[in-house]
Amino acid sequence: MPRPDTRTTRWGEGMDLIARPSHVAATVRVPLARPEDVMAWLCLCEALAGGFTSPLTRAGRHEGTLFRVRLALLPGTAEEAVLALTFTTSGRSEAANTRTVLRALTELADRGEVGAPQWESAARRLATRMATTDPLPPHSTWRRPPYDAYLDDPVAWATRTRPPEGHRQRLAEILRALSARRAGAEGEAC
Amino acid sequence: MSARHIREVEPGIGWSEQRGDTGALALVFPAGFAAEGAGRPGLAHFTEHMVMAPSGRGMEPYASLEAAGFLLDATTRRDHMTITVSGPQGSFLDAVAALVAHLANLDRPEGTADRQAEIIRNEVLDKTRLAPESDTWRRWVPTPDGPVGLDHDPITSPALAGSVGHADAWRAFAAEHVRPDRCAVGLAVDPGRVRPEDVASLLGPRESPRDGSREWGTEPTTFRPATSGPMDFRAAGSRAACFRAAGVRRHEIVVPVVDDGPSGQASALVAGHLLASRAATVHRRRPAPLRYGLFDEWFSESGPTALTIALPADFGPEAHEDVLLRCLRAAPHPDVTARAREHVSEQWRRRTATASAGARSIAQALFAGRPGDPFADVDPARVARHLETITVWEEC
Repeated sequence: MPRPDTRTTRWGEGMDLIARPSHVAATVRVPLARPEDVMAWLCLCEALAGGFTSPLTRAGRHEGTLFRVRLALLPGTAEEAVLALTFTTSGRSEAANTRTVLRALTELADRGEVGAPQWESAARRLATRMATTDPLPPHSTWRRPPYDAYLDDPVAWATRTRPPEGHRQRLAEILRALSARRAGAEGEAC
Repeated sequence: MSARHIREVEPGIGWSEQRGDTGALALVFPAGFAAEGAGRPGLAHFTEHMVMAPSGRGMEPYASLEAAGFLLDATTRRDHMTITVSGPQGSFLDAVAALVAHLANLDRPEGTADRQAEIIRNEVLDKTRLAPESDTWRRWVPTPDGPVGLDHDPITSPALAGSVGHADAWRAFAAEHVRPDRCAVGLAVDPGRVRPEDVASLLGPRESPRDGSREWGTEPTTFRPATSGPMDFRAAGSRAACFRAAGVRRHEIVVPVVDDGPSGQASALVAGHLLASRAATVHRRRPAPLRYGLFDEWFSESGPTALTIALPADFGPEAHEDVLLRCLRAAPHPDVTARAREHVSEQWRRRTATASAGARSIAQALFAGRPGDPFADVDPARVARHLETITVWEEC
């Protein structure tokens, strides 16, 4: 059994990035041109998987049987972060849950635009999350540039800013990684 | 300044001022594992999932709450279940009304029970990193009086055993134990924007909790390990023993917390801070963080547990244990105890600074029937007694 490689999200949650049976993990690198990009990806992750009504969580928890689908920006270098999607599922529900998340991801990658209502409600939840999360611990990787950049009021910011360019491409890369895993799992099952 | 100043709108509904755009409401119900009764492990957690599941395809209450920026959270512990809603104070009363309406309606779509049973199984796998038998959620540590559980077994065991749904029992459990008229309520709001009286009005008429939760039928329980075989801790003698079976994976200082009232917990935390500082001095390292119980939640629940402090990975107990123990167990000067109390009290203030943590701390304090500052009456003699009972445990 491979050892977990856990990294911490902005909200203090651990994400294990080592994919293995019963644990799905896919990552993609995300360029960070400006500190503001951190806010953009935090808001996008909130829109897609942060709430129970977000498309990925809705698919995983309300159509499937996942406790949580995590999509989060994780610190990498100063110019490049890691966008990671993970979920944990029992062996008996893995195939069905992976299929459900893949379907939702495909819709997101095909659809393109994140709608204005979805974007703005995500910003409101992001503001709540920022206000109700404990301060980052001193040794967190989030306490270094550009991840420690001052985060503006997300609600005001989201009204003048659109979702980050290229998010469809990143989601498509995650989709390809998950599709390959699913194909492998089905091949083994045969 | 240490704890929040709690004002009560009426018995069982407390609030404190929270500036800024975000407020929070926490409801603490006497619906923990202790209320499950014999032969129904997992019922409380399963009920939490069913109560919090959407009531229909419209995804209520999540659709309206999340669109407005609210976050909803629920946890089940030994003696209580906590539901917290936090979000913009501008639309706070609407959110409270939506939550109260959801709690009053226990109709759930067909298939919800089966789905939630599998979700719970996946939750345990997720939170224990695919190792539910590990110490992440199920530990117990030795004390002079026998093992004390840091045990989340009522969740872990049913999940490991398979799909135990309690599909027929949860509604009656919820109707008896998850009632807005019989819960402790914590509010962290700006009273200029959200009047606590209006929140109380939305919660409806209430039964008066005369003396905290124990008046509502939840008796404190002594938790003992439910799944592992018997272990004779007294036979282990004074030196560190082998506790792989119990899940001890590292060298650590263990402080048994047997006196589980707020002042007992507070004195254990003060002792823990002294121990971390002393160990850091001995090892010339930065003080290790304290871990209270399994989840490091302070003053959250009653019941015996343990406070642990990790020792450095290269700590060699064979050679140093006696010296270390003598140092750790020494009675502190009263001034040192007073400074430690100030330090831990300040940590508690920081921990409860956000609206959601503040609301939870208020509700849990009212639930326990002790809304005062838990660090106000820390007894130095009690701190010294905690120091005398510590043990250093090692993996073998």
